[in-house]
Amino acid sequence: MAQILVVDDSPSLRQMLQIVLQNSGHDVMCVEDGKQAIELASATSFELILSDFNMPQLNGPEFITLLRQLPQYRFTPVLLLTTETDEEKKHSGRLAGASGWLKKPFDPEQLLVTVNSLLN
Amino acid sequence: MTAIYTSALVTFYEEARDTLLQIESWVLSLQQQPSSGFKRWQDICGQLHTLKGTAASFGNEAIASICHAMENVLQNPHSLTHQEVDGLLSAVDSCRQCLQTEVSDPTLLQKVVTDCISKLKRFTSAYPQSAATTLSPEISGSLWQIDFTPHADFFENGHDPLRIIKQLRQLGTLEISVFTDKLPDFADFDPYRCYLRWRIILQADLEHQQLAAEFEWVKHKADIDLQVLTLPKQDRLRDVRYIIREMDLNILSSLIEQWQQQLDQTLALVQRLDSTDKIRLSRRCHAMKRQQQLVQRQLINVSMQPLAEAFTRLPRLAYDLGQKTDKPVQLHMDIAPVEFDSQIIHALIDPLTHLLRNAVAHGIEPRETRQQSGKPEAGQIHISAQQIEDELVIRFSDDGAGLSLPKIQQKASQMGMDADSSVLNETSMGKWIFRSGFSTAESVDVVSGRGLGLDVVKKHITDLGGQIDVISTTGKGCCFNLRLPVQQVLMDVQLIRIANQLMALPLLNVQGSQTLDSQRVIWQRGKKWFITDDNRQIPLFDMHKFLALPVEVKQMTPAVVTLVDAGNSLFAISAEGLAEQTQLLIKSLLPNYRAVPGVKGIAILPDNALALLLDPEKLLLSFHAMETQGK
Repeated sequence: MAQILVVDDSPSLRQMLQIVLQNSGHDVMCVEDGKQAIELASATSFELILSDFNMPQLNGPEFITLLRQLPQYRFTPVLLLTTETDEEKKHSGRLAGASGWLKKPFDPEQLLVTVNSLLN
Repeated sequence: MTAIYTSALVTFYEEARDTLLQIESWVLSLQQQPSSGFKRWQDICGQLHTLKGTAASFGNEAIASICHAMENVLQNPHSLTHQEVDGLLSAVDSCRQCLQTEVSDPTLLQKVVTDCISKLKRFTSAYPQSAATTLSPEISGSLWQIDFTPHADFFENGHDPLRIIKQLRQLGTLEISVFTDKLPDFADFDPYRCYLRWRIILQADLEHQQLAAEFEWVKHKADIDLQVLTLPKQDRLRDVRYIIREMDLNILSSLIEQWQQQLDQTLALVQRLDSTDKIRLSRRCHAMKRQQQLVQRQLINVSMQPLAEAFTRLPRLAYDLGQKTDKPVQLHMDIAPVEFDSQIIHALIDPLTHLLRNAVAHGIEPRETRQQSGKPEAGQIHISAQQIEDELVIRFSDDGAGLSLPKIQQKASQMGMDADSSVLNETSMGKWIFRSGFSTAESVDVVSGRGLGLDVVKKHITDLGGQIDVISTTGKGCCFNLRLPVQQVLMDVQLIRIANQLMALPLLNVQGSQTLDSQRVIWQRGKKWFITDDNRQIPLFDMHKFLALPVEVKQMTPAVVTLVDAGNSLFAISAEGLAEQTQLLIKSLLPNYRAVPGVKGIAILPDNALALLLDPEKLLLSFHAMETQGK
């Protein structure tokens, strides 16, 4: 059971993530973009953050760069969710401070395996 | 750490022996058929290069330097001279010497290497020396050494070395060593910094890329060195022998352990199923399935070996014998790509060696004689090995002088056998030459020991339940035929009870069993038919009648029928009951009894009792034959 933040501009994806993660016993909060995510993250504490790559207000890497500047999130695992596979984007995610990558489309099993491994 | 290194070293030894065997046979084939040409040449160079690299990685400089010298000989494709072939073959032998673990005398080893290299250098003087060769990194491997040194700030951005190690564990078996030398005094210890580094030996068939992907997200925060210790099995197994290794058994037992754990966890999950658990459950089941298949493949690997294994030594032996006796020999082999019980494979090596020695020493004539009789200068020896039904048939023929009838007659009468020339002819002499102590050679010679010694060959073959015979034509050559029952097979069977006996049907042929009640049996066109649950009408046969069982037994009432699929047609046989489905060891009837129509062999039950294994297709034929007779 962990506090998880989901950042994604697609409502259906947010819903899917929320259901899957809640069903496996996690406490999930969802926001639509990086800007809202930073506000919520500063106010609450999360053990894991899943973030989309392309978002209207603050994209994934931009959000992560800001997040890592908050001292309480230096060591928190952040997973980028994206359909992009090109090296350059991966590299920008890595530099921004993402802990890993989950390629869309993903099936719920795969998601849980990755999430649980990040949460130990 | 040391243990895993030792076992990797053992693997290297085996791999190197296989590679040497391969190189040897290729060098021989290049010499025999220069037309096999450039491709072969590249193959040899490729293998040498690989061996050089692996040997160097294991610190075996001796082999690495011999391989390097061999590469130099082979630098430019050309037609190999006899001296070069000799030089390369003896270099292969030197490498083998270096591999023998008992050669611990470094001076001796050094001498072997220097001698070998100086011998090889004689051939290279004509060609420019190659620049120092660099070892290219292998792109795939089955045993990896991973040196993983996270930077001090590794934990930032949510990275965790243990998570990566856990990921690696999904890929294969791990042997992990952790180095704590960078740990500071307690006072200076910062829990947010990483002070540890790891060396991990991973056993898994992987591409370099796949392994590197595991470190993709941390490569900027750690030093990662991935090295191949052993090449993937597919590469090593090409046409070469396979040995049960400690490592394989270790994999096997760890797989079985993992399997057990998975099963336990699955059972625990089933207790409290909700929707997410269902997902987990199906994931676990898939994992179990995969592991089970792995275990099965491993087990088959352990007990079965390629048939060609028994023949791998022969080309080199033929070459060496040809050199020693000054009778060049060309060996043609056609070995079926099948696998048999490794015991059979091993037991064949001696008799085959013996037959080859005999053929060269006694069969093939000296060059001049062959020239006079218009035969090719090199003696032609053909060996074929095929599986024909339940038998392994090996044909071993030479185009030499054939068995010497006068000599055999003489020897036979010396031994007090009644063998006048009217009885002893080319067809009957086969009987004599396999007799114990029968040898026509006047003296012990280097090549074939004490003469023919075919009694020994015959003993080996009969010990395996096989037969050997010979056809010889004076002046034309000699052909030995070996026939071996392929006795031991593991098979899944359905046991059924008929007349108080257990009988086995190959599970592959069993379509199911249904209750037998009189309403479902009809007589039509003079035959008994059974109506199946899905309303099909199939022939029903009575095993009692077939086995000609005594009347009192015949009166026992069958209660079930088993539906048997015999290739194209479905039929039913009646039985008193069903017993379990199980995997049993099947042996052939032949060595101990005679062939029985419709019976494939004997199944050995766990309590060592025996059951007849029925052969559905033959059984159907026998039933039909019985009906025709009955009419």
